[in-house]
Amino acid sequence: MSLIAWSLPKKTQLPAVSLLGNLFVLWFAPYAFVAMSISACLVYLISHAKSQKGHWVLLGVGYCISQFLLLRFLQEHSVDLGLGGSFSVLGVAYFTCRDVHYLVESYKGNVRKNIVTFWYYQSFLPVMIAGPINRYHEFEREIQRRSLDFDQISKGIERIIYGYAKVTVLGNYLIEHKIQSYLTQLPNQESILHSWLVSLADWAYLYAQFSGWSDVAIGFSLCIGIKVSENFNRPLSSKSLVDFWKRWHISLSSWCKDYVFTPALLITRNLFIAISLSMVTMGLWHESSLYYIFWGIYHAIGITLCRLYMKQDNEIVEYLRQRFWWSSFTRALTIFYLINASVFIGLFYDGLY
Amino acid sequence: MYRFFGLIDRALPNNVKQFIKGVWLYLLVLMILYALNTESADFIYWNY
Repeated sequence: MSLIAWSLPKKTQLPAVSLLGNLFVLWFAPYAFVAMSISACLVYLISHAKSQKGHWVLLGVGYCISQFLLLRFLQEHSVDLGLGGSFSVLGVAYFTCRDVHYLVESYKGNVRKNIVTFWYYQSFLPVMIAGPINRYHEFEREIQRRSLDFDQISKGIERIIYGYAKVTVLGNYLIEHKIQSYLTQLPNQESILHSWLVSLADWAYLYAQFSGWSDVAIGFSLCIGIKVSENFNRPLSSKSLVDFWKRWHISLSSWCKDYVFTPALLITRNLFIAISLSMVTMGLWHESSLYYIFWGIYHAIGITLCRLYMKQDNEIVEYLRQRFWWSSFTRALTIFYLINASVFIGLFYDGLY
Repeated sequence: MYRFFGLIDRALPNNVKQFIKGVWLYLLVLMILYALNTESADFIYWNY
């Protein structure tokens, strides 16, 4: 892809990359391609209509979200549409977020009308499948700045190697193949310690996979000459849960902060409701199930407690904050709360059925 | 720990550091190939 991006004449480089992106999705997920094209056309038409009104933007956001839920439902329940081929919704969660972002930002007046840049933005392959939810204005700035830089290309290749090593060596081989299969052979499968170990291995596997693919996406983008925002910033060294969600899947957290948390807080004036709505949205983004609604509420409780603690400024809390061991303790507590998520929700979920 | 790596970073000349980095990346590629050979090569499957 990097070869296509740089070997062609300057004016045809980005169209070729975008066309390749479109062909890739059309080949591997034709249904996702159709859905993506329809929503992209609708989003562009609403965003740049002559008399732009709030209710049209709301309708556009509603369409994007319902399309996302419908595609997810069809995939999760393996519904056969009778059109042949496998049903895959490759990248649907990412392009829905990008569409909502574009709609809202254009309503705010932060987006310049340019259909070609919008096409590049929608069809940018490296971030289409598993990459960060990149912002339109950042992308527009990057394609204007773009120039052939071998140093950047070598950094990109290095990043791809690191990312793919995380996915295959760390995630697939070490954690899934070795550690998780070792855990299944341990005695006392029902004990709480075993559940913690399994949960910890799951988190580590998820981190290796997710941050690995993000690294690959960022590396590919660098090879094309476009810098994409980071998605992970050493999340395991977080001092608190609030800090963790600023470091883990940064692009989705910041998207939720801008388009769910802030509007919800302005409307309800209630911190817990706003946090719960954001976390449930994040949960449903992962999978449309009851389990992930509980997942969202569990994390919302944790974040609200954490924020309440951070607001405290009495003498005891101030004394503790200055101690070195206290920061180590809060780091350990954050990890402990995270690994308990699947244990608690699993127990609660099993109790329901 | 950071100080230790900082000392090494300052003590070594640039070409030696580049060589070490090259060897490390080569080893990583070898490890990827090994992991792909032992595991089922799940190249890309992402539901999102």
